[in-house]
This record gives sequence, structure tokens and C-alpha cells, in this order.
Amino acid sequence: MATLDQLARGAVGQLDEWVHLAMDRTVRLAVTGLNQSGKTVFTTALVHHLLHALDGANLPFFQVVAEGRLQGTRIMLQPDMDVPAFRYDSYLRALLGAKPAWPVTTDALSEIRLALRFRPAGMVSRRITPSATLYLDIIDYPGEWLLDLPMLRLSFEEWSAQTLQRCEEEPRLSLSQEWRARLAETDLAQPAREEPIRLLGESYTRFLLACKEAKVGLSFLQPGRFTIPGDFRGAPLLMFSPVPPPGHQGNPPGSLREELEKRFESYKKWVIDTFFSRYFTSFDRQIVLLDLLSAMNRGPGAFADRQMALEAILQGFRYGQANLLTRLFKPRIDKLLFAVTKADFVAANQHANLERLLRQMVARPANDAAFAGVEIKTQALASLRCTRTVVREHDGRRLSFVQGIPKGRDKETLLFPGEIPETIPDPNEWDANRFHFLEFEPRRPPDAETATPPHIRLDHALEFLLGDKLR
Amino acid sequence: MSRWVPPVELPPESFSPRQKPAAPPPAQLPVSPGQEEGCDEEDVHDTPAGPGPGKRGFGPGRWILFSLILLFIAVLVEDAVGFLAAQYRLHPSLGISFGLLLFVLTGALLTAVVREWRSLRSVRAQDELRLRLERLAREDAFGQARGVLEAAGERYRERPEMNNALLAYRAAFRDHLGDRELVTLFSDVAMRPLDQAALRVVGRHAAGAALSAVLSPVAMLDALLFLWRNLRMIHEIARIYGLRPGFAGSCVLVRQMAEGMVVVGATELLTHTAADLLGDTLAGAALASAGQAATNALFTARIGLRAINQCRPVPFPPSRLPGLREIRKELQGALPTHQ
Ligand SMILES: Nc1nc2c(ncn2[C@@H]2O[C@H](COP(=O)(O)OP(=O)(O)OP(=O)(O)O)[C@@H](O)[C@H]2O)c(=O)[nH]1
Ligand SMILES: [Mg+2]
Repeated sequence: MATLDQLARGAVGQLDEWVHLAMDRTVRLAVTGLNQSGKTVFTTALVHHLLHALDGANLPFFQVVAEGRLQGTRIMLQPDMDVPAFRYDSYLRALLGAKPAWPVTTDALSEIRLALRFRPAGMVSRRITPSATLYLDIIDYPGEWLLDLPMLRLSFEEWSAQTLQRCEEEPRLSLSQEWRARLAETDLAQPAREEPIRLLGESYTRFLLACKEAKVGLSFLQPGRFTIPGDFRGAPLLMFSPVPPPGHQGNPPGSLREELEKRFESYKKWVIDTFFSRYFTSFDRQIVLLDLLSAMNRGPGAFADRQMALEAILQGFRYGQANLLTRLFKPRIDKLLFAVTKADFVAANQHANLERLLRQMVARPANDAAFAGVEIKTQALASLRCTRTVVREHDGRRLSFVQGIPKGRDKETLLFPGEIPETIPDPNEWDANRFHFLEFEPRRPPDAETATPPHIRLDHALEFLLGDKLR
Repeated sequence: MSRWVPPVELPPESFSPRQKPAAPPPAQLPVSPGQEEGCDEEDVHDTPAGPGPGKRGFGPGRWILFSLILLFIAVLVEDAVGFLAAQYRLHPSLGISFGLLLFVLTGALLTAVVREWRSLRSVRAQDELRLRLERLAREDAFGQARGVLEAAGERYRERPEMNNALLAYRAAFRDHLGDRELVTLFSDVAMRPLDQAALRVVGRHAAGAALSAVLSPVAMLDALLFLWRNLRMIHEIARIYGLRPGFAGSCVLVRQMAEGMVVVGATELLTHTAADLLGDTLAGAALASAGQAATNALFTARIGLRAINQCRPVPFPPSRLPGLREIRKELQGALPTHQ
């Protein structure tokens, strides 16, 4: 009968609450994303809005704030002594200063810990602890390093073959000319010597850097440390290059080819394995940031490259599947948010389509994760909103423009950057001037409603990622 | 076939600042449904979104139901007659005066029920606005909800308790929010004072229902009291929101009330039997009536929560449906506690 049922359900609810209370309330949030996807800005904005959550109505969809239960947030001393601190204040000063500027690209790992004090919502918890604390740990790192993850599963030969295959198409084909020429003239069977290896390695690194240039904008660039070395700068394990298959020569001991392979294996062991097993094993929640719009700007090639990179990375996160990597990623992550960043590049009425595109892009990894019992969400967000939407007649059409100051200029402009399609356009529909998304200066719109900088759906992201831990 | 609009960038001279762009909402907005871009007046007269009135099968099913109801009423009457007969056996004058009293009470209660029903009908029924909002809450649209919600808020302009909530909603408004998000925001922020008042009403009536269950000696009176109290509660909730449930919503509520009446009547009957079996011990009677009070209260609370959902101008987002948890405080005071 209904009565009994309800009583029983009430009892179970209370039990739940007890269990929850008994657990340590710490959340480690993985902010994942390729280079320039907006990780640093996201982390800075998230910290800023949490610190100022009580100052105004800027997080209406973050329940703990909306219900008035958040009592305050502080930056804490960080748990790991040997990890640099995330420079929140200097990023923030740069972003909100007199001459606002975006953070420079991240070249090392850093970490921040926040403490959120709140009043629990449940009856039981309220009686036991009138206020509770949630610790939130976030690390920030160069997005390039994430691409090392798929290398873990590959042997030197497999990896070389894949990399060389990618070079058979433009734009890699022409960019890799110099490196491939050097590869062709190097005798890989000769006894290993430092100089030819260095020349090869440097040439390969130059190729990677050229692919990364803004106007090319490729993402699938391995190994990640070749472009952002971190504290391995100059070490031999950052000096190698993929090579063509050995053919009849084989792989004689002591040869140059063998030395290259040894370096590849040490890279996997000392760089990748160490990095991921140290920092990526203990995450509870993950947000994957995607800069879909800049990718669309650069055309079908760069777009496909980015999707490939994303899938390769997320395969590494194969939640709950028994492969080599589950050792690294014990499937502890129980919530996964995919977010298109920089949603303020387009007018607000296009966000729904943006989210649709995102859903298609991540359909496969999202499926895998959902199957493993991970809760999934997709959304569009802007950590720092730099534009506003303006509706205008143009050529007899009503169009939604964005108004803001484009990067490198000092005057506002009105931009209709093109319509976000509902599905990923196939390459022949992808006219060169179909999209024209501009980057903007971090200038707050003059009519911003609140004291804290405006954002788009940061509160939705917070609610999804942390909401249940703040009940 | 791709008919996309090419990107355009207008030079700075082309927009004069005095041409006010899609501005943030001023503190007081005129009612302007559909002032936003892309707001084509769509046909909103499609099927109501609320849960249907729970289709019962026609034919034999209906007959069975009908006869069950008759049977139930008959049992209630029989219980009343039995009660009177017992009194009569004690003393004829006792029987007669109880009979009269019961007759008058039944008549009074029936009148009260009818009156309550009539006055409920006088509150304006749920309307197009709600249907539109229900639909917006389900879809991925953009730019239509703002005007509709402003119109919904406009209804409560005369209500001082709503001022702060409406201001808070406007402060939280952002022009990038999609329609579904806006409906959620409105439902969360602007409706809060009304929801709280309505939940208090439900709690109060649930507590009252518990009390009257303990007092009334006859199942028939209990069932009638239950009906009257629930109608009254729905009426009060409707007045708080300024809207009564529409057709579909009323059907759901009526069905729930019927269900509740049966259970309440039946528990009362069972209580009598239990008391007979246990012998008229004080402990037995207390236990039985405590159970009955709880049943009454829970059923009333459930109907009240349902009524809130049906009377609100904005539907609750599925995750925010209030439950018994929300009126626990009021209930706890009302239910007899026994360790
Ligand atoms: N308009 C707008 N631009 C943004 C936003 N977030 C990031 N950007 C742009 O994206 C660029 C990269 O952002 P970062 O946060 O530095 O990206 P990252 O992922 O930390 O990049 P790496 O450190 O190189 O891996 C910035 O310089 C901005 O131009 C946003 O919310 N709105
Ligand atoms: Mg960074």
C-alpha cells in the first residue's frame, strides 16, 4: 500500500544520507581538453565564481547557491607539496585588469584546492552537522600532453606507421616534407650516434610545431612533450622520431632504429605512465572541454583531425572496460560532462544546435561511458562571456549577431559568424567561407548585469559536476 | 541543397548605440509575449500535456468499478446502521438521537462538499498559458518563453508576497538562456513563495485529516469528512496560485480522492473490526487509530501535492516535484508518535 511504500522509501532515503555523510567529501575534478580548448580560463572562472558565489545572482542554476545553503568558499593549501600552485590570482588579474588579456598557453602542471562550506539539505545530515565542507581539487595542464595518452597502447612500430600514414594527406603532407626528406637520407641500420638522432628529432619537432601554428591548427600531434616539454626539456627521451617499417634490414641491436625505439619506450614509461598514473587515477568527475568553433573555422581537415584526436583520447578513458588502461583509470569517474567552450562566439539562439553537434561528435565515447554506468551530459558554455547577442535586419533577413571586440582590435564589431548546422556538414558542403568565427578580447559587455563577470551556463556545469556532493 | 546564410560582419559605424539591442530586462517589463526574435505565434491548442485521466476500460471493467463503488457505499451505510443499532440496543433514545445527529451531520457534510466544489469551479481554470509553458518546458526552443513567463508573472503583480520573488527572477534572467531553462528558472525562483504557502496548506490539512480520523466514530462520516477536507484544500491551493486544475488535472485529482476515500473508509471499517478482535483495550484502540490517522494524513498530503502540481501556472521540472519530504515538518507535528 502507498503508506508502507512511502515509509519504506523514506527509510532508505535516510540510510542513503548516512552513508553519504560517512564518506569523505572530496571531489577531484579532471578538466580535460586539447590545447587552447579553454581549460585555464574555465578553471579560473570556476574558482572565481565559487569564491564570489554569495555576491550576487550569478549562479541561479547551482542549487546550493540558489537555495542559499552555500556559506562560503576559500582557496586552501594544496595537498601535494611538490606540485606548483594554480596561479589563480595572476590569471584573474590579467583577465579582469585594466587591459584585459587571456592567459598565456599553459606549459606546466599546476593544482588548486578549494573548500566549499555549506549547509546540508537533508534532515539527518542537518541534525548531525549544521554545516559541512566539500574539498574540490582541480589540476590544470597543457592540453598537448593529453595526446600522449593514446600512445600508451601502441608499440613503436605501430605508432610510427600511424603517424606516417597521417602524413600522406594535406596539410601534413607538405608540412612534413623537410622531416621526411631527412628520414629518407638517414640510414637507420647504422650504429646509433647522437648526431643523426638529434637532427631527426629536431626536424620532427619543427614539423609538429608547424602543424600547431594557428592558421593550420592541427590537434593530433604526438608526442605532446615535443611541443611543450615541461621539465623534460633537453632529455634524450624527447629526441626521437617515427620511422618507416624496417623491411628486410630488420632491427639490428645497437642500431639507430633500436635506439629510437628505446627512447620511445622510455618516453612511454617515464613521461606518460608517470604523468597519468600520478594525476589521473584519482578523479571522481570529469569535464571534457571542446573548442568546436575554432575547429569549424579552420575547415573540414582540422575539424576531422580534432575529432580523431578526441576519440583517441577518450578511448583511453574507456570507462569500465578491461584493457591496459583501466589500471590507470580505475573507473571511479561517475559523472562526465562534455562541454563546447567559447559559446559566446555565436548568438544565444544557436546554442541548441551547438549542443546537437557536440552530441554527435561525442556519441561513441559517450555511449561507452554510459554503458559503464557513468552519468553523461553535454552542454555549451562560455567561461567568460565577451559578447552579447544583437538581433538585426540584414539583406531582408533577421539575423542574430554577436557584438564584441575581436582579438587584436580595439573597436567593437557586429558579427554574424554563420549558422551552426544541426549535423556535422560533410566536407563537400563545407564551403571555405561558410563559417567565420572570431576570437574576442576578454572585455566584459557594457550592459553586464552583475558585478562578477558574465558567463554562459557555468552554473549548469557546476550543478552537474558538484551538485550531488553538496546535498 | 545547403541553403546556409553566409557570415556577415558589419562595420562599427553601422550600429548606433542608441538603437538599443536585445537589452537585459528592466525591473518592470510590460507584458510582451513574443517580443523576442523568432517568435512565431504557434498554435498552442493541441492536446493538454498533463497526465490523462487514467483511462479505465469501457464495458465490463466499468461495470465492475461501478458496482464496487456501490458495494462500498452499501458497506459504509451498513456500518453506520450497525453503529446505530448498537446504540439503540443500549437504549432506544440513544439510538434515535444518534440517528438524528448522524443524519444532520451527513446532510451538512454533503452540502459543504457541494459548496466547496462549486466555489472551486469559480476559480479560473488552468489555461492556454500553462499549456504553452508545458510545451516550452519540453522543447529545445529559444526566444519564446520570456514573454510568456512575463505574462505569467504579471498575474501576480498585485500580490505583495511575490514582489521579491519576481525581482529575483528578473535578476537571474540572462538573454542566453533557452526556453526550457527559463521555465525552470521561473519555476524555481519566482514561484517559491506560492509553493511555500501551498505546501503549508497541504501540511495543515494533512494534520487536520489525521485528527478527524481519530475523532469520527463512523466510516461514512470519515469518508465524507475526507472528501470535504480535500476539496477545501484544493480550493485553497487554487486560490494561492489563482488557477484551478484544468480538465485533465481535475480528473486525476478526482480519481485520487476517490481512491483516498475508499482507503480511508476501509481503514475505519477495519479499525472497528480490529478493535472488536483485540477487545476494547486502550492499547488496541490507540494503535488502530494511530494507523488510521497516518493513512488519512498521507492520502491527503499526496492529493495536496498533486493539486499543487496541477494548479501551478508553470509545471514543475521533473526533478523538482515536491514530495512528502517537503511537508514533513508539518506532518511530524500532526501524527501521533508512539515509541
Ligand atoms: N570568447 C571566449 N573565448 C574564450 C573563452 N575561454 C577561452 N577562450 C579563448 O580560448 C583561448 C584559450 O584558452 P585557455 O584557457 O588558455 O586554453 P587552455 O585549454 O588552457 O590551453 P592550453 O593551456 O594551451 O592547453 C583563450 O586565449 C581565449 O581566446 C570564453 O569563455 N569565451
Ligand atoms: Mg591552459
